[in-house]
Amino acid sequence: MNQRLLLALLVGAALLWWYHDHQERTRPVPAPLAPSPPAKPKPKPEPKHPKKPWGPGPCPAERGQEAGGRPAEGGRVSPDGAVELICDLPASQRKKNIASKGLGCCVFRSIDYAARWQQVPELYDLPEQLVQAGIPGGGYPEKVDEVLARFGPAVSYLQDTSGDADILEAILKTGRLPCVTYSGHDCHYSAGIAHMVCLPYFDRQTGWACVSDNNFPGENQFVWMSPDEFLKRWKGGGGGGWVFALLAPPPPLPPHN
Amino acid sequence: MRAICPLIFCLLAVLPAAGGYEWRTFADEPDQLSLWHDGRQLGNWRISTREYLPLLAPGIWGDPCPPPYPPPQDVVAPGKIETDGTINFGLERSRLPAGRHLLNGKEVSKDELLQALGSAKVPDDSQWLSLTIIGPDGMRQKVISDLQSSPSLAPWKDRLKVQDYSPDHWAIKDTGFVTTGQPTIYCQAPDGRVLHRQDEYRGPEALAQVLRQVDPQYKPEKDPDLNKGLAGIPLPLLIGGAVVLYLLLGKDEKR
Repeated sequence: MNQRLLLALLVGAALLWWYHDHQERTRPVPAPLAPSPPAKPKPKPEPKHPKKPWGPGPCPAERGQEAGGRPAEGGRVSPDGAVELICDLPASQRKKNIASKGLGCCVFRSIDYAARWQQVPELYDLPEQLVQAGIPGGGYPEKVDEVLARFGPAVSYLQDTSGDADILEAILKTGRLPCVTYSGHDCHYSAGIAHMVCLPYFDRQTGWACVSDNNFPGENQFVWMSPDEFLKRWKGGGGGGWVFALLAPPPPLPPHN
Repeated sequence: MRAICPLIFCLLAVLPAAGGYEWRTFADEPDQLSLWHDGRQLGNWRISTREYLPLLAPGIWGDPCPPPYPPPQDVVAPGKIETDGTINFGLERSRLPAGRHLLNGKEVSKDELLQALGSAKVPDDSQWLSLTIIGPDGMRQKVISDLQSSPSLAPWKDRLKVQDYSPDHWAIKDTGFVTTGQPTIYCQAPDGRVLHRQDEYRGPEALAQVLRQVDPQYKPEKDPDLNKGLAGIPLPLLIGGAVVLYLLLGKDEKR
């Protein structure tokens, strides 16, 4: 019996060794990790208060004044050439604001821009859809809920009226296009306005914010300014710092190797 | 007479008046209107900038301010001038509640709102891979449908940014994407680097295989194999085990 037990132990040990070795040799090799993306080049530091920020067109309301980060009309690149729009919706996709039953549709035109950027076709031409349905313009968060429940019931979105700039940056960080309240006092409006526009760029680190205005949808009619100047206009004029964003994913970045 | 005509008729058109106010257009300056009251010019409205400048004295203009009488609707459209002089392009200011975070119409906390964007706690979706399908409607739909329902693709259902486009869509047409596939399928890293491209759809299994290779979070050794029972045990181990059992439990012939 002792001999048999010894033999069994030997055979068992041999089997264990063989099994362990077999496992080691047949263990699946993990797929190579994708190389981490190269770090984004840091934009050139630029003065927060550029001395001459004016874009291609003069800002008539501020002609002759030092800008100091105040609004300047321009294209898809900031006036100092340091940054580009994050959400670069082409001019061909940006229709002008219209009225429905005598009330402006800036809120719904801004949502139309975001829908085109993030490809939510149910909300394309939302102002025209309102006109057709006989719904007056004029927007506020609850009305947006109602309109989206009717025209895009499956669409996911967020709204925020806290005036928290972190939320703007979070939306843009993920490539989505925020729609924001805006009180004017820029190149296009010397007076105060009540308006919603899109915000294709906002970054307190680079010192730039950019507004895409549905009353001025031209190729070079973006309005660039410092983040502080934008925040004043976002929360001012009764707009209170309202932001709307769709949760659908943004378009892919251009391909490269 | 011909020489003074432009001066005499520089006020080409007179817009409807009310309360003694009237807006007049200029023949040689289409961007401005002048506001008149009882035969006196009060100021000018610049259409392009929507600003009003009061005329304080001949040749002296004041700072921009709301006009005492609203400009014609067609020059501020689609805006409307409110009583405080604000031009409203479509905001109901009195109905903007302050300090609320809303997700699909329901009140949530700031954290939950940020979470919906993938910017807090949970993995940031800006670091997800992008899967872009470019091709005719039916072909794109087949891939989308498989992504939603195929068990092979289930692990990536909520970990990919999926978009699909027709070949002539602005988002992909002139930005370097190949649009001639049937369909073209791109898998891109968060920085846009192309990790994989195919110009036809080879079914959910093949796509899952690609995703396994490019997904940095994929660990093959963690794959469960639900078919494995006794059949998964190697044959030599089974035979060896049987020998051990026999040696231990088998009858001793010497006894």
